[in-house]
Amino acid sequence: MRESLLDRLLGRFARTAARIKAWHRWPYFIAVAMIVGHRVNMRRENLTDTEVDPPRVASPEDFDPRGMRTPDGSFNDLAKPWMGMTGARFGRNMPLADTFGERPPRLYEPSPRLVSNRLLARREFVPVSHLNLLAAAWIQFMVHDWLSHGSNDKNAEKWEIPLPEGDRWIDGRMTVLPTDPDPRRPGDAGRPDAYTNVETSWWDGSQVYGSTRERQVLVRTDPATGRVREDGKLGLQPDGSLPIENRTIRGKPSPRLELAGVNGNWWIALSVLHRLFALEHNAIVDRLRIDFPGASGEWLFQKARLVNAALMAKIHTVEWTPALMDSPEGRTAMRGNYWGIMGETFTRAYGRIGEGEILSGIPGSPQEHHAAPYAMTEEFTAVYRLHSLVPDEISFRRHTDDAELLRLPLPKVAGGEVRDVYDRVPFDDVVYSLGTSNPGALVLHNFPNALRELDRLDAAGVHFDLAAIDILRDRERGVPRYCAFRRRIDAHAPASFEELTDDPEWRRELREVYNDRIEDVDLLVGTLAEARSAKYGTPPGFGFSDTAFRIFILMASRRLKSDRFYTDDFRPEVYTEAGFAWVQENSLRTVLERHCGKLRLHFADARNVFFPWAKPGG
Amino acid sequence: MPRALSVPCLVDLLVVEEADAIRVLAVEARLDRGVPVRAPPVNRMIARRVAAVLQLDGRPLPSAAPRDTPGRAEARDALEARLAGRPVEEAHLDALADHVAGRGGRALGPLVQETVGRLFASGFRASEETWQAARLLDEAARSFNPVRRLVWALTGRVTGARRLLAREVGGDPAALHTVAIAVHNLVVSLERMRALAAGPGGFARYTPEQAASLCLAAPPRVLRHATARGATAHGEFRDGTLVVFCLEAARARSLAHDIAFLTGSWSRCPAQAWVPALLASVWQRAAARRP
Repeated sequence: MRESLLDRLLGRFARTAARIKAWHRWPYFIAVAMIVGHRVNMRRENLTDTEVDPPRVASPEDFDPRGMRTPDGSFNDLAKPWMGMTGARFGRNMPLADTFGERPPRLYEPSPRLVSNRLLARREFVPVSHLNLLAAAWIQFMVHDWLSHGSNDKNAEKWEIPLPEGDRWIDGRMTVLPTDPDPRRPGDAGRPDAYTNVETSWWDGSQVYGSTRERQVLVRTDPATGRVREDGKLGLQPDGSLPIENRTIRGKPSPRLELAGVNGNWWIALSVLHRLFALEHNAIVDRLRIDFPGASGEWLFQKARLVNAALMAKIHTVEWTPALMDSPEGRTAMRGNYWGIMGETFTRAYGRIGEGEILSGIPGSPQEHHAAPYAMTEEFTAVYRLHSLVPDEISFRRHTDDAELLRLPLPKVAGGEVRDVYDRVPFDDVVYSLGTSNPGALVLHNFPNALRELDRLDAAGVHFDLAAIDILRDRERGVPRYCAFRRRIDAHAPASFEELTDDPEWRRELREVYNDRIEDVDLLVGTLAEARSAKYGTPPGFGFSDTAFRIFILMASRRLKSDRFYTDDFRPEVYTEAGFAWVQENSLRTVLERHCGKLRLHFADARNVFFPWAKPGG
Repeated sequence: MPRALSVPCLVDLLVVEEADAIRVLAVEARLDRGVPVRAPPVNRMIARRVAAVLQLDGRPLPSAAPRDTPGRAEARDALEARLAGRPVEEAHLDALADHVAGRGGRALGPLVQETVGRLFASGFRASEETWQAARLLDEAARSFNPVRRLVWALTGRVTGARRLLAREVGGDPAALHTVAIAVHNLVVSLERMRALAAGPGGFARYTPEQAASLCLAAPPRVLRHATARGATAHGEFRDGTLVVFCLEAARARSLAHDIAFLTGSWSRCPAQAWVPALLASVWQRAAARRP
């Protein structure tokens, strides 16, 4: 699609105005116009294709991909059926020339462990007071839908991260397996390594439903009978909880790990969301069966999946993102993505005005991939490193009187231990506890220490410092460092540590760690440091950095705009009348009301259910 | 999508910057080199200007010859085969590696010109004079400045430069194109390589193939004109439309060698394998010399 004249004008305007000051320092209308203009520019310049030999796609048998999502994400784009499917490559938001992975010695300059120790380690928990812990869980829930690099390369020589002097790392030396690159093909000559996404890149609920047919069969299996449910519902325990998978992860038995489409990095908050949306799937099936009593279980399952995935996408767009970008411009930008500037009331009452996305939003507008075939990107992965949102411990409290029932450190609410929590704390109280707790702030010195000494005990006995690994992975995969990254997204690149952050103590620490070289600052560190930069950094009211926001406005729109089921086929004929209405009329608030009705009073007055809920007597 | 610029009876351009579109249009049967017979005046002016520079004794150089020019394809294939077994001289390779390693003494332009000139004429010696002649021809092929073009026409400088270089390479049209036009892309490539070596990670970060790919400079633009009306998935054109392939922009975005050399099309460059191999060799040698 060619850029319209309006697009071009907005793109140029954004670039010109940004030379004077960042978008969030302009008045409301100018700021919104600049956000749209930045997106126009990034759609043109920040989408890079890495495929040279796309995966082969077998024609689906006994499955009509025109009205349903395939398990592996193929046939979403009918002209390029491999696009976004399981096993396709990650794309890039940078020119390929900027994405060659760093190798030693540069890979270790400075040591990722030093960065972890000096700049990331949590000293005391810094909360985000305007959000609740469901907001932290939600983004992990979504990321599991969109991407995973899968297993690392077990045959490659391990990276050995240098330990700073005096560091008493538990294993004595810190080794990390390299990311497993996609095998190189003839067209890859002279190009950087590319990596594959082992999940579908689409916004298709694959964290709930899996990214392969085999996984889908598992989650549809009734734990009581061991057979796939014939009514189109997901398999759940009689009390509504998730089934148990009983698997071994990296040599470590997890006999009580819950089953889901994706259940890696499992913890209590993730479990809650999976359970809620499994219940929601089954509720959608019940609703559809009223209109289609003779429909097969397979048809009901697939249509319910379509609806459930769209509901999750809507919740993310009009509830989660505006909660994190709690400013008038942020809310306008993200709600505008879904409803357009005409707003929800107008759009639902009168329908779309034309095909453009500005007036009436992206859902229902024509599908468009812009400069490259749709794929998740490495840079998107990098800016979604939000581990600082996670607290080191969780207090579980009773929703009727807010009395503490249990206080557990993070490792005790993760993996198979989640079931132990449910044994001691009722589900509603767990949800209440998450709704009334705060996540951590995305700032320096707030990375959960539990994740900096993660026990991934396998046969060899391995511990991870996830903070160091976050740094290492970005460098290894060729994500540009902070200043270079900012230059490529039309954002001001700091020329000094004074421009990077207003906090004098942080400046001093950054200088020491990076040897006074501002260009060496890692992307993750830069995004956390800019939280305290009024001039160029995190916009007022935002829970994350301006740098991340630039990638968000590009990719959040793209997840909708590239997907046939949110554009050309976002219509009642495909979703069914009841399914389409379900998406339009529901929200996380109604999901919670439906499945945790007793908690209604706690979130009834919250403007956004990702904001802290009311406590009894509060 | 390609950008169309069209003013009826004046100009009709299709500017193509995407690798996929260039791949499709480069093999399009209705696009050719040369000067269109029926075309808006600006199109004809641009095509004539290029044709007037890229010629020798009235015959177009291989890089400007239309598809059906007798002997064009055979000569290209023969040159490609000849280059395949033709390494550059050791002394030149050393000097180029020195330059990339930041230690070069000789000016890069004449050095590269001599390196590539020797592929065609064993006695070719580049000088400041031959290098300036190459710069002039390259500039003449791109310049729209009417004053400058008038001066060149009155003084005959462009003709003189062409004559000088043609004499030095024994009147070989392919060699003339190489030492006058293509040489500039190689110079840019090696300047990029020097900067890359001096940057973060330096030699350790990139393999020779990756460095060659990163630094390879394609011709900024090459022209085709439509010989008939047509439409492809990447744009429509009319008889006489001037299609501008922005090769360097597309290559930089995709790092694809095939775009730089139009590999797979009838107009592919015979140096498509030779140039990347040379750049990789230079990087490898320079890396071995780092302090």
